[in-house]
Amino acid sequence: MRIKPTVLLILIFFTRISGQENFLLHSPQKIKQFADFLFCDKDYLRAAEEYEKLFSISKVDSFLFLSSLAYSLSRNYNSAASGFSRISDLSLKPDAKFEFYKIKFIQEDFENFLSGEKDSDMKAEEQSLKRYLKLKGIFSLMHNETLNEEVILNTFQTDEVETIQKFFGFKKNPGIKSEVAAGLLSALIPGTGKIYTENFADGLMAFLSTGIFSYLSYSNFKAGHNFRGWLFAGLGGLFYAGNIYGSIASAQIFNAKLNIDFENSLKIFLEEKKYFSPDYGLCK
Amino acid sequence: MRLALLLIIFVSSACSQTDWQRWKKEEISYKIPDDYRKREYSFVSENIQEFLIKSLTNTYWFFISDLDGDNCPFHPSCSAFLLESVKETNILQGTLMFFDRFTRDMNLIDKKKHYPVIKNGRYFDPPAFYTLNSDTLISNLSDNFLR
Repeated sequence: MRIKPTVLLILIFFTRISGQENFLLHSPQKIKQFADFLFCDKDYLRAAEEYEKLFSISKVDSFLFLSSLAYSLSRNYNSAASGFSRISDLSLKPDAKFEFYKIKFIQEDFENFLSGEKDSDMKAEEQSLKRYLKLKGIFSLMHNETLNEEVILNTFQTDEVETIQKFFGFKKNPGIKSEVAAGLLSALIPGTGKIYTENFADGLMAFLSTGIFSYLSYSNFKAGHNFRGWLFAGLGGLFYAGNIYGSIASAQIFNAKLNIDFENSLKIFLEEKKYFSPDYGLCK
Repeated sequence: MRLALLLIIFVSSACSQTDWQRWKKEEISYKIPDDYRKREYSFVSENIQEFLIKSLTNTYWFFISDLDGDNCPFHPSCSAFLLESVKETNILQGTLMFFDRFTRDMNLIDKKKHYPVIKNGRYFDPPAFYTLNSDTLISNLSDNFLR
């Protein structure tokens, strides 16, 4: 049987029409679904834009909160802070305020961060205040403020206390090396300043180089080779002075590395704890 | 019709061939690059102490280092370290920094523990670590030890 082309065309036309599912791709529900998917897929920047779209349609603060949270997670801190500060919904305000001060802490805008203590909106919820106080405790540790260990430790959970105690331990006894002592030690016995700053092999080399040149100078003077005697004495003197200088520098480097390691450990701890942000239960 | 079809196939297949060069083995040079020879031998200096040290360094490079080869395990090399130290501080402090560096250079043990290793496999040890200026030291250490 031969089908007429017109029939075939009609058939194709109807199957195309009925095959097209009828839904609104850009309805708020679909945007929300898409934004949630992006958020849980850690595509935070695009998720933030989708939540922003929802907020501009519905003016519901929870979408503004979500878009700010997504901005914060994508390290777009200025947009996130501006979003969190605009939230007026009372149920979201304490969390939004905490997130705002957390961002100020990350941005090292400590003046604004510290003003959080007087913020009644954040204080309205105990959990938000507790999280803020944890950050404040870390701030005190970082900036050598007068520390009340017991008060700070009370704000932390049991699994966090051990790490915080270690940080306090470092603050109480950082194990820094005195630059003066390092210089004096090297002046008394070449190389000992370096050994004091735990550069053992460098210390030994300094002792050997100064010793060898001193011996060469002594033996040349003894043999009547005055020029060579003075030459080796000069070189020995330079190695000696260089070692005293190097020992002081070595103590300074040792102390700087200790502080950098401490700050680094604090940062790693904060990153692991997500700066004490709660799990908002968005992705299950 | 068949002839036209064959002609089309022939022309299209002939035109699709763009690479008429025969493939061959890549010529690889195994020679160690001698970039270290591209040194700044100029005597242009900002002051007399820099001029003195530059002259000394140029003499060392020309008569010893260029012939001896690229052997210093540090970056910058000891001679460049002396030059930079004097530029950053003064001739006295720069000389002390150099003698300290020279002592550390003689030490063959444990270098990996104390210095960051950079791309060219050398230990990064710039004068900025030793000027006794704590601000410069901390910013340089943070940049280089936390990489």
